[in-house]
Amino acid sequence: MTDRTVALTLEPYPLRKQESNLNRKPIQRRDFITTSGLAAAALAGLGRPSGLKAQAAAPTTGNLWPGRVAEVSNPSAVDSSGGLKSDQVREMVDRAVLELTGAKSVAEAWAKLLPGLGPHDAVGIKINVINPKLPTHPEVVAAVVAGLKAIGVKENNILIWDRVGNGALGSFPKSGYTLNDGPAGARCLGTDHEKVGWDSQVKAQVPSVSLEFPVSRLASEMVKYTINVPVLKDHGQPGITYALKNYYGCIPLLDAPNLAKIRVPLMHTHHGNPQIAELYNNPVFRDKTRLHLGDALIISHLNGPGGPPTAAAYTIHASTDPVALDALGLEIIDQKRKASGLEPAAKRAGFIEAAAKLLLGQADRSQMDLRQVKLG
Amino acid sequence: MNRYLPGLLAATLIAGCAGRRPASPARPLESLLPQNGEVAGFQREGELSSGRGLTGLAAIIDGGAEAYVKLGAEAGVFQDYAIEHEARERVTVTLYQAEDAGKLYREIYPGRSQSLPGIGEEARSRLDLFGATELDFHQGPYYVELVITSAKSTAFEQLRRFAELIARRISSSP
Repeated sequence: MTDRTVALTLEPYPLRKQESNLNRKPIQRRDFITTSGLAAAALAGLGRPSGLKAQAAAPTTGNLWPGRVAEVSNPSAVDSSGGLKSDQVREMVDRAVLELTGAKSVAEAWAKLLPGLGPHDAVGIKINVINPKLPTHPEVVAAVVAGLKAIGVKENNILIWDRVGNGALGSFPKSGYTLNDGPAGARCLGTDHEKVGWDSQVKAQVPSVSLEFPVSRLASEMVKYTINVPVLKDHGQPGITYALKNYYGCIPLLDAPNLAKIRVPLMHTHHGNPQIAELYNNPVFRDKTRLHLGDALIISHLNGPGGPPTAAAYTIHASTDPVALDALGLEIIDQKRKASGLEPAAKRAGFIEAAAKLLLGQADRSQMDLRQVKLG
Repeated sequence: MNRYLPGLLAATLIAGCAGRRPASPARPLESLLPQNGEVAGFQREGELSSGRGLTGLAAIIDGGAEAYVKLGAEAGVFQDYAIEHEARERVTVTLYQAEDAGKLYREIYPGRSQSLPGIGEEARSRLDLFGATELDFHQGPYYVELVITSAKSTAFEQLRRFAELIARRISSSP
C-alpha cells in the first residue's frame, strides 16, 4: 500500500490552551446542555420511554440538503494492492463537496458547509479506526484537512478523532495516522486521551432501550462543528456500518466492563434498530454534524466490521443527510454480497428506515437528489 | 410496557450467560501465540488483548463479537505483529477457544475459499479479499484467524509460517 501516514507533529502541548479558547463560547455549550436537559425532562414527563415516540421527530439544523448526495467514483484512485493515490483522492473529495454544495470553488463549498466559523473555532473530524485493517483512509482525511485550511480554520483547531487513540479497539498509528496533541498541525487523538474524556453534562439518549450516555467531549464542547468521515463496512448486526453507526464511537459503550455487559447487547439487539437512529437523533450529533463524507474507496462486504477489506468500490460520498448516505452504502454492500452469493445485508438494516421516520434524512432512493460524477 | 423490553431482557441474559461459562483451556490462550522473533522477521506490535464472553470479546473485536459468541466462541486473544523493514504491513492473529471450533470455522465465514491441507484439522485461504491475505484453521478447541495487510505473493507464505507454529504449539499442549 502507499504511505498512508498523515504527517503530524508530536510536540508536547497542554490541551488546556485550546480548551480555554473553546470555553469562550459559553452560549453554544449552554445551548446543548439546555437541549439535553429539556429532552431529559420530556422523557421524565413521558415516564418510561416507549419506542420512537420518546424522541419526537425534530428538524435537524445539520442536514442542510435532505436527500442530496454527491457520489464521486474513480477506479484509478485505488491500485490493485489496495493502495490509494493521494492526489486522486483529494480530487474526489474536492469534487464531492463542490457537487454537494453547488459552489464554484472548494473554499466556497466548505464555507457553505461550515458557516460562521470564528478564528478560534475548532472543527472535529470523526473518523473510524476501530479496525486498523480497514479504517477511514488517511488520504480522505488529509483532503478534508486541506479543505478546512482553505477556509481559514487553523490547523491546530482541526481535531481528528475516534474513541480510542491506540488500544485494542482502535488505533490511529496502526491505521496510518500519527497521534498528535501538540501545538502544531492537526490534532489527532482519542476520547481516551487524558485531556479529553466523556462529557458528563451533555448526554445522548437512546429511548427504546432506556439508555443514556455521556458523549465524547470531542463531539460536544471541544468543537463547533463535526464532519463525519466513516468507512463503509458490512456488519453482522445492523447489516452495515457507515454514517449513522459511526456515532457508536462517540459514546462509552465499552469503557466500564460491568456496564458494557448490559450496554453492548442492548445497543445491538434487534440489529440496532432503532437504537442507531435514536443515538444520532440527539442535538449534539444531528445538529453539530455538518457533513457526512463517506469513504467507500475500499470496503468490506463480508466478515465485517472487524475483518480485512474485501472489495473496492472506488467511491466517495458527500452529504448532509446520513440516512441517504447509509441507504446508498447499503446498495453498494448488497451489490457485492449478491455477486458473492450472500444474503442481502438489507434484511438487517432496518435502522435506516427508522432514521427516516425520525426525519433524520431520506431513505428512498427515488426521492434523492443523487449527483453522480465519474472520474479517472 | 416497552415493546423492546423482551429483547432487552434476552440480550442481558445472553450477556450474563456468556460471562458465566467456566471455560478452562488446557493452557493460557496467549501462550499459544508466537513470541517476538519466533517467526523470523516479525515482532509483536502493541499489547496482547484478551477477552471472555460477549462483552470481553466485544472489547477486542467490537461489533463482530456477537456472531462469534453465537457460534460457540468462549474466549479469545488478539495480537498484532509488525514486519521488520515493512512499516505498512502487519499480521494480526486472533485465536479463539470455542465449544466446537470446527463449527465456528465452518460457519463464521460464508465467502469463497481454498482448502489448505496440512495445517490443523481444517484450514483454508479466504478468497474474497482486497489488498489483504487471510488464512484460518481450527485444531482441537481452538479456532485461529490470521490476516496480513498485503496481497503480495509472499504474504500467504508468511501467514503459513505463523499458522504452522501455532498448530505445533496446540498439538504439544497438554
